[in-house]
Amino acid sequence: MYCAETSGQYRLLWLTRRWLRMAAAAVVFLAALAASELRAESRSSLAENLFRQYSSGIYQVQAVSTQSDKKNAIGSGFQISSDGYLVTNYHVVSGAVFFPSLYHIRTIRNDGEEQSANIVHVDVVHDLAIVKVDHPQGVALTLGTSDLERGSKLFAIGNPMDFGMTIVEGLSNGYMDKALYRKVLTSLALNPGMSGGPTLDESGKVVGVNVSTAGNALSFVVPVEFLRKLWLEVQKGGLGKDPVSPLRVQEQLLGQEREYYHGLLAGRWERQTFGGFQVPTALSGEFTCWGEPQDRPENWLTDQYLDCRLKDDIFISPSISTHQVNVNYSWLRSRSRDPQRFYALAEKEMRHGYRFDMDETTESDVENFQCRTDLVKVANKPFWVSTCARPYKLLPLLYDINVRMASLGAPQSMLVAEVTLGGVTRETAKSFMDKFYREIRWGK
Amino acid sequence: MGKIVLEIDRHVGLPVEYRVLELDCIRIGRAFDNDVIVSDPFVDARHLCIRSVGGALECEDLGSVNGTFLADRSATGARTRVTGIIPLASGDTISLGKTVLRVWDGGHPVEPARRLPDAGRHEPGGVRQALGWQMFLSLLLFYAVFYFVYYREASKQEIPVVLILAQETSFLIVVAVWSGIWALITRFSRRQHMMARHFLFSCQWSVLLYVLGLVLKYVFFMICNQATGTVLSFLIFGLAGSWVLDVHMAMATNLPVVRRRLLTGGITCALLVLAGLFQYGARYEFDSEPKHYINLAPLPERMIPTIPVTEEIRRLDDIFQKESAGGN
Repeated sequence: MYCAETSGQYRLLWLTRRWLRMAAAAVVFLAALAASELRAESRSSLAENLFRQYSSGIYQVQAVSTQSDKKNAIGSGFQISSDGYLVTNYHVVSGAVFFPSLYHIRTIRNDGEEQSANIVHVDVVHDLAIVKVDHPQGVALTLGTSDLERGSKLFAIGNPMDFGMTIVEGLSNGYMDKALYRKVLTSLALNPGMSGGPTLDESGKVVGVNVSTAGNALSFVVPVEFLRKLWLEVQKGGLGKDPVSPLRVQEQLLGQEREYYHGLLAGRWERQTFGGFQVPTALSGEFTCWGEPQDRPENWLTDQYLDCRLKDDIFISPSISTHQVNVNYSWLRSRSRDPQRFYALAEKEMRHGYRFDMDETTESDVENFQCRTDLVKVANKPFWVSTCARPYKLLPLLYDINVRMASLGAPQSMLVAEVTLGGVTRETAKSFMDKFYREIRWGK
Repeated sequence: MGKIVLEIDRHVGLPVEYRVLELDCIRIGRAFDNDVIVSDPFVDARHLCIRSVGGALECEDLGSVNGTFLADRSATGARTRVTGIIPLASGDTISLGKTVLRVWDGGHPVEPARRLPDAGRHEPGGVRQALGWQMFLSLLLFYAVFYFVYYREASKQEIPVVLILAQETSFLIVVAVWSGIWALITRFSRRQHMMARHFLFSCQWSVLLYVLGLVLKYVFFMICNQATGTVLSFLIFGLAGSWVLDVHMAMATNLPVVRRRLLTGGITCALLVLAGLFQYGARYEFDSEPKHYINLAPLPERMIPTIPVTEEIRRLDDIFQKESAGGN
């Protein structure tokens, strides 16, 4: 009985509690609904406000072909001062830097007025450029900071695909580490043509410059700190009367190269056992490695593949990007007992196995590769080493390097390595290869 | 003064020559004013005189340095050196330097002998043809093995036997056409028809050059870089080519050695210059891919000298072009 009574009491109590809970839940739900509606309201008005307030300071930047007077590349730009300095991406204006006789820069104001612009200064490494127009009209945007909490709201303004001035919204995901320099990873839906436009925070301050997309609604933004540095240089007088020339670009690349490789060559390289050797894999924290086993029964050859590369590169001109660092290895093993056959297959693999990374270059960019082949003792084992280098035509101190090497001495197993360095000086190439050969060890 | 028939075998791969002469003295020697010119460094400018005096043959050595020799008529093959004037019998054999002369009196039948093929003189007949067939068959075998190993085994492309045979046949057709052209040239210079010889020689040199190419490839990879290797192989192939041309020309024309060598040398040089020009033009053909020339074919690895890393790094200077290449 007692039990029954108590159970009845409990039930009531439980019922009471249930009602209370439901009521509370309803209140919370309604409150949340109201709040979210309020927020939605404030968000839309925020984007509207930002767009209304700043779109007059945002321009479309075009690289125009001098011969046909038609645009060849489009991007966006924003006013950084009231006297007509605009910020955009270097890659938008690069044609005019490298081929000033073929391209010039034109800007279009929000009200549709076209005017030509001069390139004042560039930062090739961080993909920034400052250009000057004579008749500015809109507001100058103020620079903020890119040190934002992960998840804070961002707005990007630009002119995607020549559709007209557009604002998009996204979230900041903090700095991206696996890159040459710090970039902000965002969920902004950046599209071609928005390059060079500003990324704003909720208060309307510039936190960075739209630069590139990384796939589905993932985009990179150049942190505003690099822009501030470049802007300071311009304010101090910049390049004076000197035009921005390829040699100036080379100077900046050399600085970056020196700094980067100094760190890379001094650092400790990660090694991994592969194909009977210990080979360098991730040369620094920014490297990503991929592996892939392959079995090709039709060729009687098995192959393991390991590829480590720096994911980032530097845009120089529409057909050249540089600063790649890539090491990859194949471990070929033969199931046939016939060494003739294995060597014939390996040779084919070695010559045609991998595509060269930087093959968008044209005759006006680079010379042909010059190669030499030697039999080198690496890790006390004989290796055929074929090294090729080609200079850039307009950046005479920089070379692309491609090295392929194959271990000899085992009739049924062979380690094939490939090293690719983009845009390095000959001294850097030599010290890199020196270290690379010495890092390879024999055995587990 | 009577008719003398001379059979001249120069022993330089040329067919035997017959001359019918009616002179006071048939002068034989290296100089151009001789009646029979023998271009042989061991023969004097004015070496020998052969006469027919009242139907009797005699020969006079004109004081030559290396001498004239009369072969003994017996089967022993002994020779006696001619000093002064000696009488000859019809059919006697005289040798001076490498050249062998047979002297007949005017009654010797010459006309039928002129049409005899060169090979017919040798016994047993038809040896050369047999050699040609052997050569032909061994070539066929060589190519069959080559294609079998190379295509079917190494690159695993299934190539039907018919195609292999077709390839060999096409090779032989090319050789036959090449020999035919030479045979035509032979016709123009009114020499004996020697297509079989040209054919045999073409087969020989094509195999020789193929092997030479393989050897050079490895040698150059061991000792030089790509550019030097290319230049050296051009030169060596130029020399070999000029030799091939020279032998064909010697068989097909009557040109004297000096002119022949000048001609073949000239043709080879012209071809080399042409090839060089093509290479030079191709140098500027743009290619964004690096061309790695690595021959992995199993060499006796211990025989190749390896270089240490420091040396390799030092050698890299080779591949960096002049820095002024595109500079302003």
